[in-house]
Amino acid sequence: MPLLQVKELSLSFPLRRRSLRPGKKDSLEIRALDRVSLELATGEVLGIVGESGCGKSTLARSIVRLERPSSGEILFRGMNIHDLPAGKLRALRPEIQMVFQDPYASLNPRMTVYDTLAEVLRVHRKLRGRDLDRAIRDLMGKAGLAARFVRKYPHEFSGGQRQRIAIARALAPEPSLLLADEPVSALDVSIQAQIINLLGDLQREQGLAMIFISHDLGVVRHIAHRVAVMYLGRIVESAPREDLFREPLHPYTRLLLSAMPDVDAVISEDGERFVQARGEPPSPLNPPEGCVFHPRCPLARPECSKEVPGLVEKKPGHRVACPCEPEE
Amino acid sequence: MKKNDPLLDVKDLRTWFHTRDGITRAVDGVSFSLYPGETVGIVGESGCGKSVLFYSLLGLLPSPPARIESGRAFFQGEDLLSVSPERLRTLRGRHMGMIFQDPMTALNPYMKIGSQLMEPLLVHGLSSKREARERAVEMMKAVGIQDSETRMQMYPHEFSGGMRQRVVIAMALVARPELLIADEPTTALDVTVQAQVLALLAELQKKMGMTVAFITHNLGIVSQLCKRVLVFYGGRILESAPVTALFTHPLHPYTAALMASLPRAHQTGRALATIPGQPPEKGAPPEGCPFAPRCRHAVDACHSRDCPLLPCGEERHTACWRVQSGELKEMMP
Repeated sequence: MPLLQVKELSLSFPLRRRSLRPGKKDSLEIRALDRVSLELATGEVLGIVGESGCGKSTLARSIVRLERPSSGEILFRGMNIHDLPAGKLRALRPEIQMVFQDPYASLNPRMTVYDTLAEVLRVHRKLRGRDLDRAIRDLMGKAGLAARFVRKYPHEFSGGQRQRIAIARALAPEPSLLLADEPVSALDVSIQAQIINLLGDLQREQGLAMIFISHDLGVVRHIAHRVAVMYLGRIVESAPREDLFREPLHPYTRLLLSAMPDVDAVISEDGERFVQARGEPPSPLNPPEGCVFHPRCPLARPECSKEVPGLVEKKPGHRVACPCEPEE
Repeated sequence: MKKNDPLLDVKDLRTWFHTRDGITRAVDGVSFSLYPGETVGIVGESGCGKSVLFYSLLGLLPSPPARIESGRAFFQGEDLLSVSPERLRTLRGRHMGMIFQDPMTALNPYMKIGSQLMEPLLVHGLSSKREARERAVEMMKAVGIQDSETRMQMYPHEFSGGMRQRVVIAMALVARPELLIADEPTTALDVTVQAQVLALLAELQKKMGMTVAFITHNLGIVSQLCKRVLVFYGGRILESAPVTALFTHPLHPYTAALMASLPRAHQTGRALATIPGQPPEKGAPPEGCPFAPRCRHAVDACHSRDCPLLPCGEERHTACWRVQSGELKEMMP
């Protein structure tokens, strides 16, 4: 049984708009997720890529119960996490942990590193006294923080160090699934590499399953075993890393890959290399009919605006929501 | 002006911030030239002084705390640091254009797009109102905005992020400046939109022939757009080189370490080379190389003696004693 199964997950945010006529209800809604399904095995790293508004953060937030899905289910070890009695849920919470994008906003500014970590360890691992101190030292070591920082407050740290504190906090309850939502996008290149290595090492050492969300394809290519590409609330392609980067099948994935500013591109072929990406991602308020990508798709046919293509397995492990054959 | 004279020639510029917590040497002894029609990448991590440099040239820094301690900056023969504020204002609108990072805050939310586009022309008395309108419409077409006539009547909030950045570009270029300073113009945009905006900038540069200083932290963009690169660190330029040379054969230990820390295709899954420590927050140190505390090749002399940016091979400059003396040769693994 996979560690995590997401089945046909949909989530809409109702948009409250004041109507001029009293009593009349507006039924506008933003469809953030539209029948998303995925699976994650123990110790596997799934990268999720997509542009802003594609639903990748909403997906992560519903897996940690920060959002409530409109339909569909999320099964963790076979248990539906949105439909559990309180006791079972409490036992489940330490298993799934999250690291957020902005290390400035996700740490309590009035708690020292010690307080931040001790709170988690007391609640979830029932540690006290010397055991607690030792566990905090171990965690800081794992996250690459010097033990002398233990009494410092978040504002005394740089962005990279703050992200290390956030990682230490996420690892404190010994989770089996870690959700990392753009954990390195707020950091400088040289610091980014430190955090990517840290996450990679911890993942391997502890056999953590991880969902790594990013808009940076280079980072995802580095860390993920499998990659899912999202566009406007749907998964349009999912494949093992090598297959996705070597042979992307969905036109959107191809667009995304060619738009990625890659240092190596100019070394291999001289001159400018820009894609002709048409238009911008449409608003999730009013998604296009049929395939959500068809208004920007170079291969679009009349059928594309009518039928919603399902995810079809074209090669082992490589699933695509596009019936067209990519042209070479 | 002769053809091969630099458009902008900056000599030993120092901009320091005097704050309660002491002095931050944000820009500390920077010299470089930009030549007509070239696109130069200005790269560096946050706090390295790359933006402060151009803000000081344009006179956009609040003083105090900022103070220009020394230096001269000749733009078409005029020293930007000593001209009158009125003259600088004229230069800023007509001869130097700037694109800021965030298109949300660079536009006035209360003004129609059309009026914002016409403003530079009207303020500087470059054209009549009717002419300004025509040029604004033309410029909107040039940056790829359809039905420009109707769009002129709209407000910024009615535009998407990519469209707004196109408007900001149009605004910066409507007076046909000789120098365009683009400060992280695509950082706030999505990847596919970023590719469109970069293509647009490259196309406009070719058509209008202006000089572009492209400030960014993204080495991928630099490799695609620029011909020459200046690498900033801790308030100084550590290396300057043609783009291909820099990426295939970086000379300065910092540049080499930066390249090695990029997650690139050929080393997928392997540990990335990291640079220990943090970039300096207080600008350049009072003495020595700013990168010395994080450099694995540093020797004692690096901490006490500044190395100026010296020629090192064809069209290349580097600020490292050990590279200059030939002690360090192959920087890339």
